[in-house]
Amino acid sequence: MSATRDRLVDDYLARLDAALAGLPAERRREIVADVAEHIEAARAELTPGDEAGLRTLLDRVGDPEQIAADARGDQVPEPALGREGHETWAIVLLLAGGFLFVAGWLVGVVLLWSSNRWRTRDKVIGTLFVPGGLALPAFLLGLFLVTSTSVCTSAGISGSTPTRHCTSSGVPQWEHIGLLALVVGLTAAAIAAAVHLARRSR
Amino acid sequence: MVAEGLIAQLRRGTLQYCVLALLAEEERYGFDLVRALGEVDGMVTSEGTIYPLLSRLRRDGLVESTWRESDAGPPRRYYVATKAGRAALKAFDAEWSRFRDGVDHFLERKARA
Repeated sequence: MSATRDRLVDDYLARLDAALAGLPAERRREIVADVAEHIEAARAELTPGDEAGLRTLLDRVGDPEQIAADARGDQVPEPALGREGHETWAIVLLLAGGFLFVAGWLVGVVLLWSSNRWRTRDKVIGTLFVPGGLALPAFLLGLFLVTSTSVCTSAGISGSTPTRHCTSSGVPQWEHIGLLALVVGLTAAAIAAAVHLARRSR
Repeated sequence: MVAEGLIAQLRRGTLQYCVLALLAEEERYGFDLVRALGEVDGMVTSEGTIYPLLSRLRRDGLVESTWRESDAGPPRRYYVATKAGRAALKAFDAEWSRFRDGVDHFLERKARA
């Protein structure tokens, strides 16, 4: 029955496809197609109805696992799945290296630009968002706290409980809010850039 | 046996050059190539493994392929050695002759002793 024979071939090709799992899709498809073509060419020489002959033919084509092993042996090793050490350090230092007197961030920038995992566009994003990493908004937050707390001073009249006077030191309120907004914005941008780089490094 | 394992390794290493030699002067399609290799007993243990090999040779630029219409059915992929492939074959040929003669020298010597 030609149905049985076709099923034999289909089963064989299915096993081959399964054995090739993990290889790049293009290569996998190619090898299955080539072997299928080979089987058809060989089959043309068999007498129709010769199932035993077909089975012998498939045996000669070989064990799908063996073919897959050969294909795998030829495979140029891909960069390790997941991030390599340098890329991880680049992201960490870009975010937090600024706390080490800016130098840490600079090292992060060097690692960023020397990596071959990121496109130039990603590298520019990583550098501009945000220069100094989280250290910049942290610094600005410090500024904010200093300028706002200096506004509140303890004024004490001897003999009575000290009262806290929070008066404006001459810096308009909106500047404080603006600074705070900038801190939040920069923090968000730095984290977003780090996440973007992390995703792009795979 | 040690000798068997070694021969298998040698076979693996040299098969690509046998293929290049067959493709150096004329183009062939897969099945035809396999059949030609089959002329020597044991050169091809599993016919299907020729295809990963041909794929690698193509990737390395030693072989190129063209699809051609065939009256016997669907289009076939024909393989032929490239200039680089023929150069690699020539280089191997020289190395192989030297190596083979070297080994033979000692083995023949031993047989005579």
